[in-house]
Formats: sequence, C-alpha cells, structure tokens
Amino acid sequence: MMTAACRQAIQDLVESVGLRAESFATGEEFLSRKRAGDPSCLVLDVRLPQMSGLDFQHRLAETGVQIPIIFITARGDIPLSLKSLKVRAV
Amino acid sequence: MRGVIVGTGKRLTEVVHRIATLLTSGSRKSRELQESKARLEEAQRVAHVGYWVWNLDTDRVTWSDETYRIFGLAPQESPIDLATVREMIHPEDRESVFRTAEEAIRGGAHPDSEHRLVRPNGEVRIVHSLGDLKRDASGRPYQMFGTVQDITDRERAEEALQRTQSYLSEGQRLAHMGSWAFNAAGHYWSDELYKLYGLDPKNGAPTVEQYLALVHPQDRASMAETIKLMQEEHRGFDQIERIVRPDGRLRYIRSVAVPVVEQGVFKGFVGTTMDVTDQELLTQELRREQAYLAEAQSLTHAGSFACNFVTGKIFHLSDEAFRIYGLDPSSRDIPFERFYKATHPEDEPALREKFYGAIQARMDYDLEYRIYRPDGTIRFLRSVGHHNPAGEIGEYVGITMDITERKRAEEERERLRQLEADLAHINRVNMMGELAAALAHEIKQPIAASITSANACLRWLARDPPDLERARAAATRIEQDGNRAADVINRLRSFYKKETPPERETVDVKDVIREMTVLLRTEAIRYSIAVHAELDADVPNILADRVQLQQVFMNLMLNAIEAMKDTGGELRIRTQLNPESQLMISISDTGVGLPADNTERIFDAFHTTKPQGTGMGLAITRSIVESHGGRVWATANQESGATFHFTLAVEAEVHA
Repeated sequence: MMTAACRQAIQDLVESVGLRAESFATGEEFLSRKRAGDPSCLVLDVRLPQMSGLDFQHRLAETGVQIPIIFITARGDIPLSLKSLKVRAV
Repeated sequence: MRGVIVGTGKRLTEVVHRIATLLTSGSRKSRELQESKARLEEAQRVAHVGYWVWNLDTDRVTWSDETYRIFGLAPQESPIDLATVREMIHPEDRESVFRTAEEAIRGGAHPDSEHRLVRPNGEVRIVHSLGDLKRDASGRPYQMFGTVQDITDRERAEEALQRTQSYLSEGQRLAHMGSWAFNAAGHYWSDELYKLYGLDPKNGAPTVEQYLALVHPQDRASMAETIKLMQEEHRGFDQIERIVRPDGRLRYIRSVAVPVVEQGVFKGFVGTTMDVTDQELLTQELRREQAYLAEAQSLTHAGSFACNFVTGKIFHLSDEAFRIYGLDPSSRDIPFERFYKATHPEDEPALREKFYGAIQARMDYDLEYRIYRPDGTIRFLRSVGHHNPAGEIGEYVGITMDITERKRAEEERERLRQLEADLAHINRVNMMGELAAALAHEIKQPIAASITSANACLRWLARDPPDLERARAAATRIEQDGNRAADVINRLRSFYKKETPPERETVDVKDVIREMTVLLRTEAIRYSIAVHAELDADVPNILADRVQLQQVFMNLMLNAIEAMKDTGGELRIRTQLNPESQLMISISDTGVGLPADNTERIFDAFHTTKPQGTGMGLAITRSIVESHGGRVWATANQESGATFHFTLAVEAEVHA
C-alpha cells in the first residue's frame, strides 16, 4: 500500500512534467469524489486499504469506465501480475 | 537288660556260694584248694562279688578281698567287728538290713536285699547282698554266709536309661514328634505318634491302607508311592505331607524314615514323624511375604542389603539388588568388591570419601552415584544405608535404588528448559525475519517517495523559469521522508541487540506502545485491521526491560492480528491503573476468539492453534510479564474476539 507521502510525490512528479494529476487514498474515494474530468490514465497500487486494487479494477470494468491502468506495487509477484493482465490491465 | 544282669549276678553268686562252702568246709587237698581259691578271687574281682562270713557266736565277720574292695578298704586277714560293718551301712538302710538278717536267724527267709553302703572316703555304693544261715546238728544257727555284689554301675545305668526314656517321651511330647519302628517283630508307634494322628493307642498302629486314608487326598498318591518304595526297595525318605485327622483337623507332617541294616541284612525301618504345621504355615507366610517384597522391590527398582562394609561380608542381598547391578540373582557368592568396583570412575573418589567417612563416623548415609553394569550400560543409583549403633563398625542395612529413569527425566527436563530458552531466542529471530519484510517495506516507502520527490524537484528546477516554490515543497518532502526512514531504523535498533541480561530502566509504556504500533502498522493494514491505542495521559513510568516489554507487545499484537487475518477488524490497546496500583494493559481484537476449553492452557509452552506456530509466543510473554512482577490472562469479548490483559508493577516516582 502506498503512503500519502508516496502518493503526493508521484502526483508532484506527474505535474512537474506538465500533466494534470489528482490523488485518491482509496478506490472508494475515486468512485465517490467529484472529479474535474475523465482521466486518460490511472496509476493504481495493487494493495489498497479497503477495496483491493484488483477489485477496484473489476468495479471500473462493471461501470463501463475504460481507462488504461498502470499497476504499481511495492511487493509485486508474477501470479498477481498475470491476474491483472487477464483483467486487461495495461 | 536288667534281667540279664540280675541273671548273671545270680549264677555267679551261686558259684561263689559253692566254692566258698567248699573252702570253709576244709575237706579238699591244699593244692586244689589253692587253685580254687585263686579262681574264686578272679571271679569275684571280675563280677564285683565278694563274700562274707558272720560268726553269730562272736559277732565277728570275715570278708573276702573283693568285699573289702567293695567297701573301699584294703583287704586284711583278721575278722572285723559286726559293729564296724554296721557303721559302714548307709544310715538310712542300716536298720532294714539288720532286721532282715535277724528275721532270717529267727527262721525267716534268706536275707536278700539291695542297700547302700558308705565308703570311708564318703562315696556311696549300691550293693546286692544275699545271705545263707548255717545251723549245727541241734539246728542252732551259728554262722551266716553271704555274698555282696556292687551293683552301683548297673543301678546308675538303669537310672540313666529311665531318665533317657522319660526325657525322650517328654521331648517327643514337646516337639510334637513321634517315633516308630517297622520290622519283622511288627509295627511300633510311640504314644506321641498316636496323638499326632489323633488315633487311640488301644487300636494299635494303623495298616498301610488305614494310614493312607488319613493322608490328605492331594498327597495320598505320592505317599503311597513312598511307602511302596520303602517296602519294595527299602528306600528311606524325608518328606512333608498333609494329613486329615479323624477330628477333621488338617496338619502338616514331616516323616523321616531310615532303613535299618545289620551286617548287610535289611531289618526294617525306624523313623520319626513330626507335626510341622506351625512351621509350615509360617514358612508359607514367609514365602508369600518374600514374594511380595521381591515384587515391590522389582517394581520400585529398589534392592535391599545388609552387610559389613569394613569386613566386606554380605549378610543379605535381595534379588533386585543383583539385578540393579546387572548380575544374575542366582550367582550367589559374589564378593563385595565386585559391587564396589562397578562404581563409575568419575564418581568413585567422591563416593569413597563420603561413604567411608560415614562408616568411620558410624553415621547413616544417602548417596547418589553411577555404576557400570557388566554389559557396559551406565545406571544412576541412590543408596541409603542405616547404621545400627549397637552393631559392629561397618554394619549397615539399607536399600539401593535404580534412579536412572528419574535422572534421565531430570536431564530431559533440563534439556527441554534449554530448548525452550533456545526457542525463545529462535522465535524472536523468526519474528524478526517476518518483520524484516514488513520493515523493509516500511523503510522502502519513504525512500521511494523521496526518490520520486527528488525527481520532481529536479524537474521543477529544470523548468524555464524554474518553479522554485514547487521545488522547495518537493525538497521539504524529501527531508521528511528521509527522517521517517531514519526513525524506523532507530526504533529497530533495540531489537538487533543480542540477548542481554534483563536491564531495568525507567520506561514510558506509552512510548513502547507507539513504537510497536508503528512497527506493526503495515502488518495491520495488510489484513485490513485498524489499530487504536487509548492511552491515558497519566500513565506512570515503570521500571522494566524495554526490549522485553517490546517483545510482550509484539507477541500480543501479532497474535491479535493473526486472529483477525481472515476477517479484518479492530485492534485496541488500553492502559489503566488498577486499584492495586498496578498498570493494566489490555489488547483486544475482534477475531476468532479463544478456544472454548481451558483458556489458561494457551499460555503453556508449545501450545499452539496455528499451523506454523511454535507455541512459544504466549509462554515467553507470560515469563516476561511474571519476571516483571505482573501477570497475564485472557478473557473472551462480549461480541467477538478476545482480550489479553497483563499487569506491570508501577515503580515509585522516578526522578531523572
């Protein structure tokens, strides 16, 4: 799981190259919060505090939101990556 | 026997009479006379028979040489006074002897009496005296001729025989022993033998059939066989059989029969029969008790002994004592040295000192030592000896116990204790291993964040114009993340210290809880567990080993997390002061809860419900808490999960 510090650092890095970025602590927060516009890319940690990253991906697929997702993880392993790819992660 | 002696005496007396009559009649030639006299002297001497001639007119008495000897006097030629003779008769017999003589003179029977005489040296002899009266032509008695025979030895032999017989019969009665004889003359049973069998002597000795009917049915066949061998092969025997007497009483009888053979010819049997019921019952009881004792000794591996350690003489050594030393109980004559030499060489000097010290001091001893059995195995023994103060020096009775099993159990316990200590260490090392992964993540996060921030910072600076505000913000985050990583490492440092003796220091429990919460945060989040610490601001400092206290929290919190691993939940830590001024810390979870049965068992070493658990976590926790003067227990929560509580003694206000 990503700490707030990490989240903020990533957001800042993306912004430093001139892209717009927003950060969310959890999947729920992403789904419930009013967003400025439809994002063109999602950077997602596999391990989220409540709903897991993979569950969140399912929810997005169900609601018809089709955004490319970059999965990041602190403890990546092969089975997990395969699982993500099968659900169309980029 | 008596008849024979008396018979011989009578014949001799007659011969003496005849010869003496010849001599006194003086009607033979002197040579013949001399020969006859010599033969007479010889005969008298051999038979202890003397003669006497009493001249009734002069009251003078002539004695033969043998008569003098019988009276204990030297033979002399001249006659002696009747009064002198009278004096030599035993005072108690004197009157009756002379009355008999006077009656004979008055025309009564021949005097014939047994009486005593007293020799000049005071010796009393018993004599048999016979007299014959001589009368002249007118019928007037003028002389009495008689013989005197010393029958003292005969009388004494008879008395002795009677005494022996009376002793024998008394002895038989006392010993419950009867005797019997079986020969051509018939079948003789002593009175006591009839009594033993409860039979009436008037009916005579029983026949073989009658006898066998008395024998106990179980012993009858063997007794019949014995009698058969006795009759056909003249074989003696010594055996114990049971009889049932006519009055119904069962008795044990020991019979000994010996064949009598005279000059190679079998004459019959003599034997004794003894009532050994009391001895037999006692023997049976003794055997039973010995069997019980042997059984008890064998069960307890305790052998008994009685010996003199100074002389090395063994009075008693039970079978079990042999077995303890690995020796065969049937190999009896084993020297004392053999036992002592079995002592383990390492234990020998100490044993010698204590053992011989006790012996010299005549004290009891209680020693433990090892021995080598002949097969090379080592056994642990404990020997307890009691010295009887009344006995000789070195005389001891006691027991020797094989305590090998107990010793092994003690060693096993010690080994387990050591293992427990090792495991406690391993457990901690394992925990560190598990934590390392979590901690690596914990440290990697701020580092990754600071690298990212550094990247961003560089990009903000590379802009044209550089965005200094955003760059500064990024640099600030780098500093914060760097410090965060350093904090984690600082907290860890105490854990990497090697096992050190407990060091008590003033500890703020709140600090420890905060540290542990931080350390375990990742683990908690991983299983969707929220951690809440409700810490009273007034929690006093305590005196404790900080590392051990951390371990207690670590164990209990990891357990709580483990319990909620599949469900997620809430971990709550509370502190409060209880009325005994102890600090009570409660760690509760909303997990699977406690086992329904004995909740106290969960604190036992190696008790675990987890597939990978060592069962040491709670055991170590308890030992640490108790070493801090507190206690630890678990309670089930009302809704779900369990709460672990432990107390810590609060130190009096400690000033810095």
